[in-house]
Amino acid sequence: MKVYEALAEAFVQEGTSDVFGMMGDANMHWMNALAQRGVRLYEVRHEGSGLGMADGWARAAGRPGVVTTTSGPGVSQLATSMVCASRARTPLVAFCGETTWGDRDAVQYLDQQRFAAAIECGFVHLSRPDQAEEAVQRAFYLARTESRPVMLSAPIDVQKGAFEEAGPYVPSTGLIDRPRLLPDPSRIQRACDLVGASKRVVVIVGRGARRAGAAEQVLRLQEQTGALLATTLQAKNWLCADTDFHVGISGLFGSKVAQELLQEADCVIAVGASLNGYTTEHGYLFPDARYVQIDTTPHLVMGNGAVADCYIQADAVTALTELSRALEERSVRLEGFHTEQMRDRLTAPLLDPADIRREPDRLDPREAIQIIDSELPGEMGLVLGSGHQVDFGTMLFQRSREVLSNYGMFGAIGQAPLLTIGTIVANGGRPHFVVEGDASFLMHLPEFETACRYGLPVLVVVMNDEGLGAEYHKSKAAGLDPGLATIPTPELGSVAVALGGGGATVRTTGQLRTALAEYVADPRPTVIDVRITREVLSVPYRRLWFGEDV
Amino acid sequence: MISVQEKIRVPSPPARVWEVVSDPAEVVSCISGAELGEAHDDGSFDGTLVVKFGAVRVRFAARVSLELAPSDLEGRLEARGRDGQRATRFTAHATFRIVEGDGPDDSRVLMDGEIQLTGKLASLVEAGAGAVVSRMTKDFSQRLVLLCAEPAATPAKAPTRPRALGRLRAWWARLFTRRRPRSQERTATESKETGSGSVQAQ
Repeated sequence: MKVYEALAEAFVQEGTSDVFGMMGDANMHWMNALAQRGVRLYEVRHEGSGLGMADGWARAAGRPGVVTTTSGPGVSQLATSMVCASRARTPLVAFCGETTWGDRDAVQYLDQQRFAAAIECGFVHLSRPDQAEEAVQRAFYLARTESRPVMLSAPIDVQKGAFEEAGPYVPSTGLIDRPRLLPDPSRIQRACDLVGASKRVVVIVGRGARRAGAAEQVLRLQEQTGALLATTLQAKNWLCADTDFHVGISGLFGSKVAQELLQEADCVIAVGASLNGYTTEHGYLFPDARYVQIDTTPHLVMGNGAVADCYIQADAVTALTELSRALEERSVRLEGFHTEQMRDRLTAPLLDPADIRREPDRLDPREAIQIIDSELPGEMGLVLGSGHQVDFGTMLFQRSREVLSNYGMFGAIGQAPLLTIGTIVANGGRPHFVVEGDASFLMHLPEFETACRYGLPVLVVVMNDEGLGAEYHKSKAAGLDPGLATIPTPELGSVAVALGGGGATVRTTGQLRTALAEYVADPRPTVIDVRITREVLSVPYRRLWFGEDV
Repeated sequence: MISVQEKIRVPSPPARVWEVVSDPAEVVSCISGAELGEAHDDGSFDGTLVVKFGAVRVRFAARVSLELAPSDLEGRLEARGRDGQRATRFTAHATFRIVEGDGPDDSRVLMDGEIQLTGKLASLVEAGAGAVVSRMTKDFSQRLVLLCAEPAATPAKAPTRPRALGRLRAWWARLFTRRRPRSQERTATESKETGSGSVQAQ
């Protein structure tokens, strides 16, 4: 057996079913061996894009995604997407070929270890043929236990060496034995003390709570404590269909009502949410609150620079069950925010129809988001993109559905369509849509062709203001020339058709509804180029740049 | 850093305008969300100010010193403090001067100042802080015009804690009584300790 075959076999044993990337001299043998073992290979147009897809795959599947590149220039293409995956704490293994071991004069030579360090990923080197299995096991072990991307760098001459099988491969999962973290009873009692002494409780749930499947326990605690339920950005819209007292996102993307109500809280119970500076606005969103925080991490410092008044290191389901039981024993039951008046306040529409800005051949982005939300079924997952336009969707998508936001993960534009493609692959080809800006979509336009080639039913809604929206508005605020941030775009609907998919460029609400209906009726790779006005400034920008109370 | 440069037209005589702007309690009554706190022996005093950045309210506590030159109708204000989360510090200084406007019953208040925010809030509010200060300045101008139009005998409307305000007024009265014979001098109420970092944390 060759080393590249042993490597491929080990990847399969680790659960690898889908690999994104681009073939080259230094990974082609390994890719052939994978294909022979039934692994699906997705040939992309840029290695960084492949990594973005593997990132989306991993976030959806909850296990390590895999990307592959050849040596040197194939590796250097990974930079931006790798940092994004690292910031998102995505478990991922990048199988990267390497020039012949020790040949620094090779054309494609790159010090891949140093490069890996610079782009924030772990590094495992395959230095000898007999280390093949150990190297794969190590890479996956690090990716899983540290929840981060890891580069497995394999020189081509080592890959082509002979490998002596010593016995069955032991996947990294066989080395990971996670005990269930039970809450310290004294901490539960302390949490009861804090909750019992409170009148206005807010429960904030993050992606940790969602991953733990703690919905039932969260809702029970919310009911007992009369709490408002808020989410982090990463858990946007989670449980919004299950309670009338869901206030949406806690943080800059929260509605005005949310921001006003959250400031009234005297107790915050965070579940699987780190309460970082975004969620708490560095603590300013909860000026008078005491904190109970439930998380599996040993230590957490919140975005206000402090630790919680009561930190419970535990599994979310168990900790919430214990907390609810203890509150019941003490007969603690609060009305809190659960009043009819509050219910009315929370169900008020976020957008006043009278505020919609009508322009010839341009849509108000807020109205476009509302139409998209109502026309696309809740089963269709959403990925939120980047730039100024993302603010509208982040605030206004209200329907209960899976939402993935890449905001705050290095701030790179162009990643969201890639994440969406990977998500669709992980979810067995189920249709998903991504709402992205024009500059972001065009950055990795060739990957729409990848989606077409593999028949992946991604809907890309391009909120097209023909420019760099964020810079356009920031230029205006800073007294610079906003015209420098405008870039005309071709009709992207036609471009999508030319690349092999469906497409439409829409300039009216009627055209938008028609295009969405066509996608819903027959989901296939589609681009809807929505021409939007630049005259509507997002709420976060109005807050940040003009201090408006909106 | 936020710069404030304002020329406020007040349709009242300069003497009346000076009466208002040289009285901390009156000035505070013109600032929405501001309250006077304790007066200190060195002439400085505590103050709090609630500012809305977007929908988020932030309470600042500061120690303020005021230096007045009644003969020139000029003053200088210094303030240092931090917010209730103890995550943001600020320093502010401003000079103001009253000059006659379009006649003896008309004045201009010339203000020139800077506010420096450092810490978490600075990144949070970004450029918006300048817009917030600008709106607060406009609001202050409107309230000042209204207050100056009231008769001089009208008691100040500062929403302050009575004991603290009483002490401040008494101290203010003592100071003016003591300094009046030397009124040609700049009326300094600032001591060397001012700005040494003693602030009222919230």
